[in-house]
Amino acid sequence: MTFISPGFLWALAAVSVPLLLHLVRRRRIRVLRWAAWQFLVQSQQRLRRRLRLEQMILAAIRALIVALIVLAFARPVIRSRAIGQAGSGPIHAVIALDNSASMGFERAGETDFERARKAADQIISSTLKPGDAVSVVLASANPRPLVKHPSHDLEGVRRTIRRAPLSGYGTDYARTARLCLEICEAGRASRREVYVITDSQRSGFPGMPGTAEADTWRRLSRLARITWIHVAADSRPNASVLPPMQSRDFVIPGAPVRIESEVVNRTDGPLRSATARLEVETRTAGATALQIAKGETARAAFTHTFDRPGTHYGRIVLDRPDGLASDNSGWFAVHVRKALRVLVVGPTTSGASVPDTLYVATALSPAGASEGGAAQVTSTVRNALSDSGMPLRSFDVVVLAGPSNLSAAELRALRGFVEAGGGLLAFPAASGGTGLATVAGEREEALWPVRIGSRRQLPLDRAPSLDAATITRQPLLLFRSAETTDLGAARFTTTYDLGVPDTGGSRSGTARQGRPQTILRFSDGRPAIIERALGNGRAILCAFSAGVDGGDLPLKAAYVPLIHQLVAYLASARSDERMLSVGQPAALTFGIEAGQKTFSIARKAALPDEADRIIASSLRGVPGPDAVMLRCPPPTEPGLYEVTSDAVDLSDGFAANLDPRETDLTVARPDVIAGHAGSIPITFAHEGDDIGRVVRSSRYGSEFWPALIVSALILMAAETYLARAFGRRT
Amino acid sequence: MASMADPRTLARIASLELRARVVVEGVISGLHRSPHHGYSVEFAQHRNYTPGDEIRHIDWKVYGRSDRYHVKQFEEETNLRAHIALDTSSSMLYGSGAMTKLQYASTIAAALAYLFMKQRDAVGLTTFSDGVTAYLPPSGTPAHAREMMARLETVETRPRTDISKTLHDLAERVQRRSLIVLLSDFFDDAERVVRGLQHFRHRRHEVIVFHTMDPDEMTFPFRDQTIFEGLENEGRLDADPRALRAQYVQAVEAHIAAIRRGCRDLRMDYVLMQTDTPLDDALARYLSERMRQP
Repeated sequence: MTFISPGFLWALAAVSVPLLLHLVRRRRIRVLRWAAWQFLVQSQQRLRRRLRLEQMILAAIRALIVALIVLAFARPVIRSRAIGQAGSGPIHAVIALDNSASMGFERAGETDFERARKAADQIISSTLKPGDAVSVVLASANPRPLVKHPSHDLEGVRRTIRRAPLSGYGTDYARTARLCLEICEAGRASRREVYVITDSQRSGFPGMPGTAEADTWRRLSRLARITWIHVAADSRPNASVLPPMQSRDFVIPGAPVRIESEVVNRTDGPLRSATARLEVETRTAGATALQIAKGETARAAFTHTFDRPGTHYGRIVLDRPDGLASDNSGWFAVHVRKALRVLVVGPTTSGASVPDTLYVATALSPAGASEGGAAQVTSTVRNALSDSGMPLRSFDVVVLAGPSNLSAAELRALRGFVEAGGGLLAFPAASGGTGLATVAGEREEALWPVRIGSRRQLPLDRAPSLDAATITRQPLLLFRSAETTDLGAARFTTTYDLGVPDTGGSRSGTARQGRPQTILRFSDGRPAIIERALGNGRAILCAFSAGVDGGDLPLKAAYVPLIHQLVAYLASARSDERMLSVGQPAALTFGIEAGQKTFSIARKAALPDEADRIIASSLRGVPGPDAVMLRCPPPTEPGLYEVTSDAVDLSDGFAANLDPRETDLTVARPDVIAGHAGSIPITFAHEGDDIGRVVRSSRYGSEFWPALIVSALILMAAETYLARAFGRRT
Repeated sequence: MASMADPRTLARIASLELRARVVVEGVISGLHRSPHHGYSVEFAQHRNYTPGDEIRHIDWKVYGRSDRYHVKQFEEETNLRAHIALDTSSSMLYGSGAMTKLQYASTIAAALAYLFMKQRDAVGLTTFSDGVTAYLPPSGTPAHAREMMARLETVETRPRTDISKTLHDLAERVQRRSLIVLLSDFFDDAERVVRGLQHFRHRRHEVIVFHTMDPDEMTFPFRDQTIFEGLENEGRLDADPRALRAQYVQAVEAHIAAIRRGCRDLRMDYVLMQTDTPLDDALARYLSERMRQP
């Protein structure tokens, strides 16, 4: 126990006052010469013992009253485990103000972020004094300092906090702690305090408590006293629209595309008669009614056909207001291409037989049955890669159908093409060499997902088929059903052994990490088609030829859709990423003609009566051999962003959505927070608490002077009662 | 002691007396009917001279024969012999107000004496504490009155020993039937007090008891811790008055009740007089009641 105002403790000497009074009164008591002695003696003899006891009781109570009052004035505190950094020097307070999207939750006409700002203001105004310094951090998944260097201008900091913006970022307390730690380490004050003012979102602690995360908090707690101020309601009913997905990335005019979002019901009860609408270019393009049980998810799916090329913008919006409006819309931007351009490379003649390139070109020529509708494909067939006469950039996908061995230059060109976002589909030749090896000994692993092994030739009766049951992911999911396809009917007499890829990456469902993925196997279990991401593009390697020399697949009905699916899938990699999360930087590709042009980015109006808002201008792209790459600053709030250039008629854009985890408003309990923070001492406070008192408690401990005053009052009443009772009884 | 002859007090008592004499002639004689010896025009006997006797009543012939002073006693022309007995024990020195109990009782005694003198009654004075400390036989002469006043003004106090014995002595001393006016706080055992009073009754004296008490002694109003020191050298006592009050008051009331009951049984008049009561009021009230008696 310690005291905030120990100067008052000297008054504890007053405890002796009642005792001294008791004694002094005995000494300096008045002497009265008395006549009626006989009656006095009679009375006194009866009462003497009891009177002495009663006097002692009353004297003790009076002394205790004085002691309690004096102690109350000294403001005693019980020091808790959270106390550290005793002293009286200037304070450096680091205020981490949570401005993540969830802080926009509104209740009683006020958002949690506004409450947080008030709490921060209260901390400065009621707990800091001239000479103390403040730093302010906007806490989120992308934390940034608002006032980095300790500022002694407390009023100025308060004004800055009042203007602090809400963001669309998610929440990440570990990153926030790291930034606070950096700021604390840079400061010189002997007393440091960190105030995390937040809605304590559970999703701000992703995963299980980690060592590195806990270590950051521990280091921070060694430097500063940490106070966690919770400003949100413990229950925040919320329905949210998760970021939309489109059924395929390669979209052309007239081809229907499915756009869908998951709608999550985290309200207190079932969602009935809720309506989700599809808006395209601010006009309603569809609506669907939703019935979602409490805690469940429903899918709001729409099919839309875009009528012209270009980037189209829209959202799926839930027409049901709740506390958090920012997650009631899922924003999307769809780039509609004119047509799919494919370069088919391989022998155009093959003696008496039909060359593989012809099967491929033929499969691509008609309006194929690609998923979602017909795809307009323009194919160019060349004998060798260098014979095309056009830069590879002009094509979306290159198909190698048993070509001659590639030169090192061709291999490098293909690699650059794929890394720039192109798609590469490779079929080995059924006879002779694979055609996929390099003549100069260039390392094939640099391009192909796995090493191409030896060739196997089996008689037809023992030839393997394709096992549709091994399909687990796009782009071949539609072939899984044996009733609708004859993919498994084909037999392959000539196949290649492909190296076994590491299947560990299959959990992600994509191959963006560069890990080879088997997307189809033969009936004998060997990989038949393997995919690998490379840069912004993808490469797919098949263990069989594209023609009929090594099998009869081209003669099966499944051949055409298989080629179309693979090509469309590869072409989608060429599309720039337009569905982003808030805080994720966008990179858009423009033609080479945009090399010297400047761009501006505007957040598009969500409603017809709103105006677009410029968020960045005078941006320049980075010219490459075939295109100009424009890197856009990461968006800070959800919505639609359009990139335009005034000089030429160039336009593109992207959509930014909330991190889906941010829409889960579940509150982390203090024990969860402490668990992630490595069980360091943290003082927890709630919005309704007296912040000043909490801070004083965190600095000095828990005050209990009110209890002392109450006790003193109770004792006073007891003393009065006892004194009267003693007197009355006698 | 100037207050004893306060004209205002005497005037009010006198007017009451005057009114009494007019309405009921000889109220006092009605109370004391028996013939008494005193100064009269008809010689009755000789007795030894005592200070206070009129010089002119000395029988010089007897002096010539015996060389001793004798005064002649005549058939009394007054109808009352009153004897005022004043308690001068140390306990009578207590006083919480303007007057101690002794001052108050002395004033009453003086007033009564004055009253008796004015109506030509013989009045004597006896003071007592540990015994009879002074005795002045009844007389109605102005010189006697002056002597009596002087005695009252110069009274000395002593610790009381035995009030019962003292009252017996006093009763023995007063030979002739008289009106005995007894002024005391009676701070002694109530039974012994009553036994002492019985002797007066046995000698067929008429007795009026003025029980003189200080208001503090009745109500014990003290609050703070107090050391009480006995006025009659009883010692010291440290006490919390608030704690003692109830017991004390109960004891005092029981004592007063016992004395009052004893007086009633002995057919004596009992008057409780508190020293904060105006003197004239107290006397007038008593005499009024006395006059109303058949």
